[in-house]
Amino acid sequence: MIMKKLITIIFTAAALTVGGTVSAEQVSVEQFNSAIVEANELRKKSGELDHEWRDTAKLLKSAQAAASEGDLDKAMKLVAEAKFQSEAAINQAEREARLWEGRVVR
Amino acid sequence: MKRWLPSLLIAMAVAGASMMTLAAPEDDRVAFENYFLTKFPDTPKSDFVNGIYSIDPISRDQWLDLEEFPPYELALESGETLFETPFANGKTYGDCFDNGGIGVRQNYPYFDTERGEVVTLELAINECRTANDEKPLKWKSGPIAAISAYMAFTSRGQTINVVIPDDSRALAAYEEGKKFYYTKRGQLNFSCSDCHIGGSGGYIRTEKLSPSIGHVSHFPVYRLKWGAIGTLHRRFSGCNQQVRAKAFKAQGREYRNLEYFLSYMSNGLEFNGPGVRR
Ligand code: HEC
Repeated sequence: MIMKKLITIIFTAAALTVGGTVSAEQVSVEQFNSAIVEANELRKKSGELDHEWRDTAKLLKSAQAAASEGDLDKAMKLVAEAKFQSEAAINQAEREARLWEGRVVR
Repeated sequence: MKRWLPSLLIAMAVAGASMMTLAAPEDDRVAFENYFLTKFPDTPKSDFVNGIYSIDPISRDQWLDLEEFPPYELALESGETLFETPFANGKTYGDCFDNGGIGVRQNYPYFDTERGEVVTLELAINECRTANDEKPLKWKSGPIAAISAYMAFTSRGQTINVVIPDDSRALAAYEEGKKFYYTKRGQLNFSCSDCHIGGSGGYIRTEKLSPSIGHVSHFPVYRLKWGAIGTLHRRFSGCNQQVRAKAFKAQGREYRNLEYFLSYMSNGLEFNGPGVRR
């Protein structure tokens, strides 16, 4: 439980930092491109672990759309959210590999 | 005595570990069944094939009214027509199945030891088509659900009796389905068991949750929400997506193994498909 809270705090802080830098200075298209590639790799990894979340691909699609319209701030925020989701999904896969068996009805 | 202790503990741990991996599916099933029999003492075991209506008297009455002119009737008729209409090569579905495909629902799902994988009824239907040079049907609704419904209808009253053959791959398929069932997924972090074991009888938003036992007996199902008949894997997709997990492919390995496990858990109950649900 404490762990969960801690994780939420860390991720919220991370999300805020990303958000902060995004609005503080101009994001370049190159930055966006490498960020979305990285986020998409993480999404795929969560999928290989059978744990991809429902909306992650949609977030990346919207990010791409926002970037195409020139709104890189919005695009970066969406990428950060997708990245957060994939990381959480990967954590979930690792956690569940240990925990699922404890739930089996005996 | 003290010097013994570590090795004794190790021996116990080893025994425990091997018991865990060998935990017979039959032990799982008995524990599963007993859980629901204890939780819902007013429900006779055979009634769990009726899903939520087995534990909720109010919606049961509405359902019994629906069953007087069941909305799956049309799908049954079209399923029968499709089933009997010959392929371009003159063969029919009946040629692909035992007993001409009548009353064989209970042969599925099964573990095919030659192929090394679980075969479901819908998979067999589509493989019958491709073996006869016809295009496969879409997996989740439409004609495949209608044909499956007709085949289920001719098998009403047959007993669910999933067998796990003496083949390590079969046990692995069962174990994979079991793991899938108990694993939390999605942004909302729920496992099937959270809702359909622990949560059964309780509410999620306005919907009352059905017990897992008997879940496979009455598929395909006409859902008022879908306004159509759909397959079990369509339901699996929906249940994955509502916890904001990405759904898996219908008839992919994951869902077939899940079906294998879930069907095994309902061994001894009767097939009563197709069904109607909200
Ligand atoms: C967040 C809760 C929730 C989770 C998690 C969930 N379901 Fe469901 N499920 C429901 C609800 C609500 C219904 C509709 C009411 C009912 O019959 O329980 C339903 C219905 C079903 C049905 C149809 C029951 C019938 O009688 O026709 C099946 C089968 C099913 N779920 C299987 C699963 C499987 C397998 C999983 C895991 C992949 C799962 N569910 C996960 C909430 C959930």
